Amino acid sequence: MQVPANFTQLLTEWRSGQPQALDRLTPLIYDELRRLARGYMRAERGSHTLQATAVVHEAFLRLIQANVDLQDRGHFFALASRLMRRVLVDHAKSRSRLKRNAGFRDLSVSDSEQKAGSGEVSVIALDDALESLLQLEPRLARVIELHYFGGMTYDEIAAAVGASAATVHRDIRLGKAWLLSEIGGAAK
Amino acid sequence: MIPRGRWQEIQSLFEQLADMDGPTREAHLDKSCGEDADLRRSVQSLLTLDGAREDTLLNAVGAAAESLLDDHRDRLIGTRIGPYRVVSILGHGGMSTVYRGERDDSQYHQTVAIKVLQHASVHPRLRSRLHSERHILATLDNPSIARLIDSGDLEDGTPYLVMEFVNGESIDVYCDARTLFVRERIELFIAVCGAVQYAHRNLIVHRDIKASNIFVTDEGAPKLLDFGIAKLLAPESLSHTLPVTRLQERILTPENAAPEQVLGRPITTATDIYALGVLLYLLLTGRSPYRLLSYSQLQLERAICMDDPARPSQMVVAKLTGETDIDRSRISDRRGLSPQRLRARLSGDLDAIVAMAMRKEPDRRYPSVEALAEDLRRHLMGQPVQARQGDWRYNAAKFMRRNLLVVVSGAAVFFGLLIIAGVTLWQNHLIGLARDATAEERDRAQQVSGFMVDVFSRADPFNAQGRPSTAQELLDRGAEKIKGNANLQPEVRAQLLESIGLAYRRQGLYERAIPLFEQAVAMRRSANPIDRRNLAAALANLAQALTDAGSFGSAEAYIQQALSLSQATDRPSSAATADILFQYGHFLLNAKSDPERASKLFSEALVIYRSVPGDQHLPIALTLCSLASPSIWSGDFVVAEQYQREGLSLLRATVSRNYPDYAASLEGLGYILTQRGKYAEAEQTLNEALQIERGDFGADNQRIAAIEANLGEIYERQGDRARAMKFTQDALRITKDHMAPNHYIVGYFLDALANLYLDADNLGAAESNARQALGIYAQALPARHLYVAATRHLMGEILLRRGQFEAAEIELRAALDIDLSLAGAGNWRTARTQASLGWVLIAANQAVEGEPMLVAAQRQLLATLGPQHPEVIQSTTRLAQYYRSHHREADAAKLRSPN
Repeated sequence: MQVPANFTQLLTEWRSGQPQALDRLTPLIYDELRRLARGYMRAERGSHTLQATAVVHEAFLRLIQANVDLQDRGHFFALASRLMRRVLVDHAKSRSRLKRNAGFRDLSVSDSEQKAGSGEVSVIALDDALESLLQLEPRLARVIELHYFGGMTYDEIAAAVGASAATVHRDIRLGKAWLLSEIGGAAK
Repeated sequence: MIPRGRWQEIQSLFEQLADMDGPTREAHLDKSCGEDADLRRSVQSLLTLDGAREDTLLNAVGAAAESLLDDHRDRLIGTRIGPYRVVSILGHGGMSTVYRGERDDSQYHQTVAIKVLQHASVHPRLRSRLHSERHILATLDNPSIARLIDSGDLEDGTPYLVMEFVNGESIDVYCDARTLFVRERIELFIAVCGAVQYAHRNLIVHRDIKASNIFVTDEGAPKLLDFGIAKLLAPESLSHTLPVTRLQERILTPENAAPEQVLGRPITTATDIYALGVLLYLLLTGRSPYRLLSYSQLQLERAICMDDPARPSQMVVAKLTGETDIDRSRISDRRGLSPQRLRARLSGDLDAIVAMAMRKEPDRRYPSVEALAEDLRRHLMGQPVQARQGDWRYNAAKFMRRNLLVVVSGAAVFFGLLIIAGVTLWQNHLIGLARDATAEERDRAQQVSGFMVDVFSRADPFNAQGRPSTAQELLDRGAEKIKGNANLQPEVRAQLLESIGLAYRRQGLYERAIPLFEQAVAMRRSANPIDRRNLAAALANLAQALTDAGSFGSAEAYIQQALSLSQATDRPSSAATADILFQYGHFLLNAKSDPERASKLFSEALVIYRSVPGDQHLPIALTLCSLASPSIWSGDFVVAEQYQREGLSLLRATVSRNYPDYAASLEGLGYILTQRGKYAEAEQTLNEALQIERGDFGADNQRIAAIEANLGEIYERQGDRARAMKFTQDALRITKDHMAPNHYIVGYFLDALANLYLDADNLGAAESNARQALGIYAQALPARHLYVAATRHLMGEILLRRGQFEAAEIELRAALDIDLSLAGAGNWRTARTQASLGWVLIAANQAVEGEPMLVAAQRQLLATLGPQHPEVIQSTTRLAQYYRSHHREADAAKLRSPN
């Protein structure tokens, strides 16, 4: 049974370069991620979008039990977003390996992955494109990561990166469009 | 990799063009890219991708998370939990996964649902709580509630609950699949109510009632799942509260959440009643209540707390974005009706019942689930439902709570006794008359009745010129007398009811007036032959009382009936029709915020009054004053002043200065003069009105509040903030003492106060008052009302000063939306909002949109309000500031001397 303080500690360890901390962090995230998935499923197309990312955000807030100084929050969110990205991408990669290696187990491949295979964007492609964006314009990449993987609002991102909410809003729009064009280009 | 320089070009072009519309954007692209087709293509492609509606990247992240969790969930399949083998996943929610478990030993075979909870691993305290509370849940023993069989912990400490396995479908799917009629749906719903009521008696609140938690078995019996589980999982059951409680609450099935859940307030049985209301809504309409209004979570929450959902009867004929007529008729098909028939079926009782269950304030909902079920039963049996009566009764009760009556003077008591005696004598007289009535005698009876009506009407302060000559007691006893006397001739009884009702109404005793008017209407309707003129008048009276009590919906229906009846009967039109037009005009103005139609009706009334014989000076004067109002709303204060002065001078020539409407007209003129910047004359006029009110009515009353608020505005504009504050606060105090706490007038003065705080730079107080005002409007006015727009504009200004540009923008756009649809594009209110919005956009670095908006709005304001008006001064100052900060001194200078 992990107490919340542990999570913060593990995160700090991971930040300071102890990779094994990640292994112990990941299980803690599962519970909270379930909520994220639920949020995603509720985001019916065309109707109101219940942001899955808001759930990620919440997951982390719950985990840290707000044991973080307000001043450090921006930094913490950045870390948490990075972690969430890492967990999701790693899992997606291991799934796709499994899919390639064991054709008969295709039944266990979730609908969402099949969807991702059929013209929709996979989180792996997003991850790759984000790496390219980081080379081109680090600020945009950071803001996008906070938004999609950290579930932060424009205002929170603005506070974290020291820009106005309007700037963040524009950055996200541009970043998103760029990523989509990058992913689309890579697919062709 | 794109070269750095090229990327910067792309980036800057994207930012410039992102918010432009198609043609403008094309033109700019042509200009900026010139021959550089490659640059053009890059930017163009980004802009196209930016316009996509769906957030593909968000979906990618969500899908990845979902897949990760699917795997995690599968791990339990094939293992054992207690004596049960985990066979498959039945479903999962945010809090838990439910597995199908089977017990297969020598004794018996049993299928169960096993709910494995999450979060418990991170919240040890929640776990211990769960263990103590599940014993209570295990005591719930009702055939309609899925039983809790067992509970325990997995090896890793994760708690689970074993529950009765229910074979069936969720209630909404069940109803639709079988094309259940509305009646059958209601009957099924009443069975659900029975189960909830049973749990409530055992002091257990469900907290998460929704269609997916209610299964119906093949035999048609409903089964409620997850009773009380939500509480075990609720964040507030933890002793330490997290700063993210709001966020967590937010995730709990937001469409079904009651306002108190959104706001994090205590959860009670009333919360379940609300959720039952939402469920009923869904079963009747096939849609969630807030589908029409909301598209983001925040807006949904706001809507839950602020807006009234579309009535079920409206929802079934509404077309949601992206839906076709076929989608819509599919819903009514599943209820065995056409959309129009379904609408008719739901309108009235069912609309009212759903609305009452879903009221924003928990204590205004049905007092118990039983009461809700009972009302539905009454509806099914064709009996009058509580929900429709409760409406005005509740409003009126609140309205009147503190509206104390003037002390009865000795003379008035004597007078009252005389009337009671008179009624008795007169009754006997009438009975005698009725026996062998000749035409002449009937005339006399009419005279007598006229006299008595007149006597009663003296209780009306308007007819008694404001002297405190009456008491509620007097009226109560009069009403009792009528009720207790079976011998009264129907016509006379109806007239008496109306007279007393009128007197009640003028005293502000709507609660008492409404049933009397209702009886009068019923009697007029059942008279043979029907006297249409009298019926129209009775309907108009009822409509007026309902309007005063804030029941706008039914009021409008009655007044429309009155008007069409009167117009059909009166040829050529008589003053009676004009009276109804006059009344309807005021209704449209105040309740509907529709000055345009109001103005038409007033003009029509004026034409009639001027054409009919007899002395019509008074109604003509009052109509002229009324005609000033639409002009005020549309910002045409010059015309408003003309009407008001014309009406006032006619009034002066017709009535004494003690006539109540005289002071009201002075107040109206004072307001107009204030808006025109003629402060000295305005102050003098208002003081005269105040003197009349104070001198003749003595105690505080609502008109005094209006006058004081108006004086407050004058002082504010003259920079005397302390005095302005004092007067406005006093106006608010009086209003709160005299009106229901949620009367829109209270909101109006809160708004005025918020304005003053904003001027004084006290942003906290400004915001809190403005929010209170919006809260009141949400209950008292339609969502689209110019008062709402005005206060949201104010809220936008407050948020702007707080540097919350995005939130300010949201408020201002909402205000603008209302302004545009109700006041129109050229209106000063619209321009005022545009000026603020333009400034916010500039502040938020979106000058491309902001600058032209502010420029146009400033011009419009100047043209409408004149250079001295504070709104004009503010927008001009802001524009000048913007120009100067961009070193456009020439433009700034032009502002100072426009020619």
